[in-house]
Amino acid sequence: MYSANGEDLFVVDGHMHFWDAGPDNHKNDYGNAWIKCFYDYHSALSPTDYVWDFDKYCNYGEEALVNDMFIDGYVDVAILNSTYLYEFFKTGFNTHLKNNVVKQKYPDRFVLCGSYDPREEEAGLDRFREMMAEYPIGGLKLYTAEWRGDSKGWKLNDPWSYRYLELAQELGIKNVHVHKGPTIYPLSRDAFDVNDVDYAATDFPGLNFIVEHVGLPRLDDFCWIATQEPNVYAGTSVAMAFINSRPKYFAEIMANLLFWLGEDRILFGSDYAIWSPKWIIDKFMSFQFPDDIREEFGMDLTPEIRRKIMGENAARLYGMNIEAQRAKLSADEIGARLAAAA
Amino acid sequence: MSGVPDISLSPGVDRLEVLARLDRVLDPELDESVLSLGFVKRVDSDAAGNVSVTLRLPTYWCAANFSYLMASDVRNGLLAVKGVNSVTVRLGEHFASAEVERGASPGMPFGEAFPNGGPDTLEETRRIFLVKGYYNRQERLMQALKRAGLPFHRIAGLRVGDIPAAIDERAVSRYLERRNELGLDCSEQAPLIVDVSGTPIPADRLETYYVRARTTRLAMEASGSLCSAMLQSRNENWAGVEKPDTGDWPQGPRFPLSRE
Repeated sequence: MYSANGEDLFVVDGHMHFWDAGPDNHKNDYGNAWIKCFYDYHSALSPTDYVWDFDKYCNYGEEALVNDMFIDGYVDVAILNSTYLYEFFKTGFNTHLKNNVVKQKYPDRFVLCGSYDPREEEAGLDRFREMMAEYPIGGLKLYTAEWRGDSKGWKLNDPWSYRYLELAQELGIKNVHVHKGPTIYPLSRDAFDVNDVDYAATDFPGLNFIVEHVGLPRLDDFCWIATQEPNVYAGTSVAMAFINSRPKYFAEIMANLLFWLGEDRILFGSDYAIWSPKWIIDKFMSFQFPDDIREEFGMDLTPEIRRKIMGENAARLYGMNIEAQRAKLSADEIGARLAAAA
Repeated sequence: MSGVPDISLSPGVDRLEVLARLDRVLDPELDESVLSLGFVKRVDSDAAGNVSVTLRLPTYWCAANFSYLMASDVRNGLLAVKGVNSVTVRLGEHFASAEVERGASPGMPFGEAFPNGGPDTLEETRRIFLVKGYYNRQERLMQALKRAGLPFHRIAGLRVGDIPAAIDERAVSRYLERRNELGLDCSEQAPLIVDVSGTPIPADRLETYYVRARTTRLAMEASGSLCSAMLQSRNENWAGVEKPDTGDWPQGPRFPLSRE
């Protein structure tokens, strides 16, 4: 919870991770290259005080996560964006199996995302059913840019992907987070393509598609699609992290999202542990558009807009009643620690 | 940040010409020169004019197609320099360095270097980003015209020859250069603001058109800014500690969701 000027904000971090990328878990040099690249994102945009040493960054552990998210970081509920990468990391990077450990400990604090890969075809459908039955999966996180064998990625609107989306919907899934962001994956063909979201969003009007990292560097293509499709949402992790070192771009990205999507379809995300929610939220809550942006776009970051972006929009998508959720959170172990510290 | 490349050329190869050629190579996604983005790390040549260029991209995972375009353009650009006999482009620590180095230096089409990696050539990709870059440059010009006090209906009526002298020269030349590359009429009489098919934008639609171009310009500019920050961190974080390739790389990265 973020409190200022007598106002309490309900904070949902729409995009975070609990990874183990220590050397013991590297399957090969790709694991090392992967986490080094993540570390560059971390150190490129974090304020100096928030830059960790590389060892901690590789494997920060549960205690740091609880502190950074909930004790110091104002977050009420966090959405665990599971990522697998079994070819790089022996036990995976941050799979739903691992993420479920913290989910079990603090069930009301986390939404656990599962995933599918349509290239697993029929056999994968059974595995998907098993995952849905055995784990408290609240949403999906998809990577269309993953390589698999000779395949260099897939599209949300591939026929097999539609089979999985149908099944997911049947099993109660409402929200699908799709990674469409800066290059991390060794992909070629689909590097800049967000168009598959357009098809899937039209064909599955009952699902919400949260485009993570707002398609950066394809912000423009993302905006055209989101303007057409009411069930497409902006996941703002990465864009949010610009607020410290590149405030002008942050302001312009936010103004564009508000212009094209409106204030009800923008979700906060820290991408923890790439960046810590505390500094982003501190800066965001006091951020004002510079005069030229305010003039050009004719808008401001009002308290209401901030409230929606920080948590109300995500709470609505996940069907969370904020007051009821707060009551549950105040009763858990983290709630007790926060109350003791207050 | 090591933005300036280390250059060591044999006497027969002109340094300024090499720099001018490199300056014309763009990161297609960012519409900026690889030289000004700091992506060129080293340029060497031996007495026989065999040139070796080392690029350092902002991340190990920079997409294969864009990396390939940049490497190919560096090669083709430098082959045109007097005294240059061959050009080898290296990417150093990059997931596809082997494929890019093997393919781009002899000028192979993309599809041959990456047989499972997508299209045969990157011409369509190049075209998509030339067009995005066109909107990017056009938006900057329109922004400058707006700042000079011209309302949209006046801007819509301008011809190429009417650009007020007060407008930033670089904004004008970058716009016209790209317009020319796309094969559009750049004569003095041609309407100033046209779409990529050369059709002028009517006054009552120009603001809507501008608002879209503004978002495209922002996407490119913000991404360029992110890439520069990433490259700076990459240089600072791993200076001198970059491990040599241990050879412990699987045949090709695979990302199965379930363990098999």
